[in-house]
Amino acid sequence: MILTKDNILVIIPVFNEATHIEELIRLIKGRGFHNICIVNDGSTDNIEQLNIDESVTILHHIINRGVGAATDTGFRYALLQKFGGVITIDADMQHDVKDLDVLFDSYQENEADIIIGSRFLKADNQIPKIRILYNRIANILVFIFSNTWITDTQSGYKLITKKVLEKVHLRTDGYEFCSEFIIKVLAQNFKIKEVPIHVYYTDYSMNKGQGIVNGYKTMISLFSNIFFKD
Amino acid sequence: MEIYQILVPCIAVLFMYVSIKQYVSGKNTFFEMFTWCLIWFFIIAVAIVPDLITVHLAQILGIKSNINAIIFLSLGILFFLQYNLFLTIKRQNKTISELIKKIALENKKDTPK
Repeated sequence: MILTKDNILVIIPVFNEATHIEELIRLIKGRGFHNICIVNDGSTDNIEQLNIDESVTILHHIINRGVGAATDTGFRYALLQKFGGVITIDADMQHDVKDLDVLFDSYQENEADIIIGSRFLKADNQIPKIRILYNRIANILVFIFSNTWITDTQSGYKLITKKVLEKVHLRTDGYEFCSEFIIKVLAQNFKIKEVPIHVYYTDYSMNKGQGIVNGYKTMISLFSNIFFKD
Repeated sequence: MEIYQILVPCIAVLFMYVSIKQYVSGKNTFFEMFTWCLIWFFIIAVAIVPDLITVHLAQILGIKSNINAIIFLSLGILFFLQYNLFLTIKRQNKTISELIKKIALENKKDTPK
């Protein structure tokens, strides 16, 4: 299937991000991506009361299950609606919507199955050291299980084609889904390409991401899902 | 006779009663009730005749001290129960997530754009 901007679904997993979401939607539409799906992961900040454009699909998780579960709901919706692919983007405005085109153009040039927007391939990104450390640990874990070095396994900015969505099924619900997804993708020999993207960290986005306790939980959850399949 | 030799069997009998009651009211399966009763029965036996049971146990397991034998066996049982609990919680978490995802997609299907 040929991927065009008209058959790509932009998935935004959202948990208590009501302050940014309208602006983000406006910016994404401004880049020519009109299929947008917000997955509200049990937010408590009255996202339902926002004046969101009716063309935007909103899926509601009645309780919070984590970013992995929310992303997976978006994936399932994309498959049900027969989209050719998806782009996932974080809702906290840390990503630059201009990079939607970077991901899309890279797909057109390379035809990889997944294009990952890597924060670490762009030298001028100001990334907090603690985030670099978390990411490095996650990269090493992914390398151990897949024997492939990816510079940004935890990136939430990805273009994923339909054939990957059809084959890769997520088991984890939290942040660990990023590692799980990459490991499964590589196990099925899909082609991954990384492209540099901009990232902007603010105090707000730093509070939203993974802390030490959350990082530990993520690691345990990933291991338990790898070793204790039921 | 020590006090614990009266207390432990009393508590164990109480828990056996609870297990049987839960089976009768349909909250537990027969297998679950039987397993719990067996565990409590073993605890009663150890409390009433500790030396007889633990010395035999130590001989069977090849552990020199009867106290060590009972500690190792208890730890083993506890780890087994903990592992079962872990798997159950994991399975339930998965089921809940699956339900939440299906509800989200179903609700969208029902709502015209």
